[in-house]
Amino acid sequence: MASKTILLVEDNADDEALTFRALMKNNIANNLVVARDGAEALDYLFGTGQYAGRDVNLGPQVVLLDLNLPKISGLEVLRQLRANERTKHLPVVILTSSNEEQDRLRGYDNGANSYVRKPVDFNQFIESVRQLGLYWLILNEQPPARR
Amino acid sequence: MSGQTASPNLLETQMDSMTERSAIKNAQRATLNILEDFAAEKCELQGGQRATLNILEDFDAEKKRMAGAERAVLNILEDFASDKSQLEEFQHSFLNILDDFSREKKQFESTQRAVLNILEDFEGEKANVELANEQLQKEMKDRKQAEDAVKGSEQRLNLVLDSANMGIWELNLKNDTSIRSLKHDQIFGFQSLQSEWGAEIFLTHVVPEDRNLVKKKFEEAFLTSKLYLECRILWPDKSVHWINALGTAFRDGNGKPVFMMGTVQEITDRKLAEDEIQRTNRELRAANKELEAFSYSVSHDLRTPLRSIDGFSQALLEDYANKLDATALDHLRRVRSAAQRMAALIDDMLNLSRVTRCELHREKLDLSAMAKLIAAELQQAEPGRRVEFVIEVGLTAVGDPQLLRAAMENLIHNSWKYTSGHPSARIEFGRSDEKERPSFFVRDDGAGFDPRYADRLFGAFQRLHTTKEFPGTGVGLATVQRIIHRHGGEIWAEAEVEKGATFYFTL
Repeated sequence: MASKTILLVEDNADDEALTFRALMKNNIANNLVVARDGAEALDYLFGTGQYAGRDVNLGPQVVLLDLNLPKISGLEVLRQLRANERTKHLPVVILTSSNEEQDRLRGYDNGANSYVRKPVDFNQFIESVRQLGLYWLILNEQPPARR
Repeated sequence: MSGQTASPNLLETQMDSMTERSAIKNAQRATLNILEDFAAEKCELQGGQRATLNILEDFDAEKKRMAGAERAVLNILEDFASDKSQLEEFQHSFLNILDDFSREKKQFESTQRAVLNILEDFEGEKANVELANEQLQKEMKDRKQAEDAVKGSEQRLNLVLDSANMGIWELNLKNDTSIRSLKHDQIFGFQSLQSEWGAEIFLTHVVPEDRNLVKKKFEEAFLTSKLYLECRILWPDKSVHWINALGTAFRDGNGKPVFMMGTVQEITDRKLAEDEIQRTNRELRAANKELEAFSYSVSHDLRTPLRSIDGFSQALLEDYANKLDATALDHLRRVRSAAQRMAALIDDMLNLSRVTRCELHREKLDLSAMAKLIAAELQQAEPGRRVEFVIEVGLTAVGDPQLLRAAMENLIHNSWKYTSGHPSARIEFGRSDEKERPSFFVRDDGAGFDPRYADRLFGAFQRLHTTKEFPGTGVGLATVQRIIHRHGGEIWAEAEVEKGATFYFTL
């Protein structure tokens, strides 16, 4: 079984640390890859730029995507993911502070699988991450790999 | 006596004696006397003769007169005879006339009878005519009433037109002439009625930029029979005014429009006001957009550092619990709690501002069902609590589903919260008909509040309890109030300390 990688796209260092901590608390921190902006995320997913040469078939199981990113926004990353034949079924969970209706709508419009609001309360956050991990890494059936 | 002329000398002849002379003298004297008498007698006789002559003359005259009279009488008799014969003629003709008259009389009588017949018929006709006349009178009265009504309507129309500052126009499409009221021409800036007017002339008064629009509107009117246009016109004094014109086109038997009539009104004030409103609306929309951007930023950017505060405090608490004394742990707990409270405040503030900004969608809603759902959710979340819900069935209202759901949630959650201090509670949702206004209410038998501070109840961030007693940011009721007000309703509350509270609202 391919190792289960989570791609976390998050620009905020604190949020990155807290998410990592939460994943750790739930024992699903094994393969966490962090991209700190949209461009880096796309490089990783398509095996370009600083990730050139990466075997993209070892793609992440799920992408935890923040919306407010420098360089390329979270929505743009999502769009490009969905536009690409290979990555268009990749599970993407939008994990963001905002609960604004328009963000949610745009997220789903552009093909996000799920939308989770980051709670301020850390305990709640840990619980959210646990449930996310449980669902996307264990319960959910992955889309078949494309040849 | 021939001896008269005898000369006295004879006598005197010789002297006789004096007695002969005296006798002669005496004889003389006697002769003289006889002569005198004779003369006298002669005179008398002459007189008599004259008288007789006179008488004879008179007699002659009389005889002549008599003859004349005789002739006259004869004449008269002749005349009489002729008169008589004339009279007899007259008599004949008179008799003829009488005959004619008699015939005439007979004719007349028959004519009279005919006339009587005619009169009888006439009487009949007269009765008919009288009846018809009565009807005519009645119709005339009706017509007069109608005319009066029309006149009254006309007066009212003129009054209305005048007070609305409307001019009326009637345009003959065949020869492009028009009849207009004085007000019409005044609206175009003229003091008196112009001698010539028509569609072409009207067009020359429209500002050049609007002329195409006006032409298009007229073409549309020919198709649809209805004209409605707003355009700018130039007055003789070069000022620009806005007018609107309404009209209806009338067609001939072939469906071709032959004339149009309608009204015209100056709307410069209204247009200026509209422009003002549009400008204000644009500003408002811009302000709203700014506010939205601000809210968005608030919701996202403020939360992130809060998360860090809470998260790392928790990390500290967990990782270094054994190295921290009770006070340190307490500090950290307070830090966490403050961060979380701030997050709640941010959320509530955002909700409050969203409620004011967002569009209201009106739908028919079942409030009873909504209340039941909220109650079920609460009971599921805290199954340990003993709360009895009494929800009246079939209560409906028209409003925005999201906003009203939020309001109901807020009220019922409040009731749930403020009854948490009691072992058991009763929360009601129903409809009240007291106070003349039918209203909905949410009632609980919980902590209630001091009615003296009721005016602070709906203020944003105002609370009547401490956070220790009951958690909350104090924005809930402010939000509910705003929601109710946006629906055009009112909200008020009654309560007593520890005897529960009732919140009434109308929609």
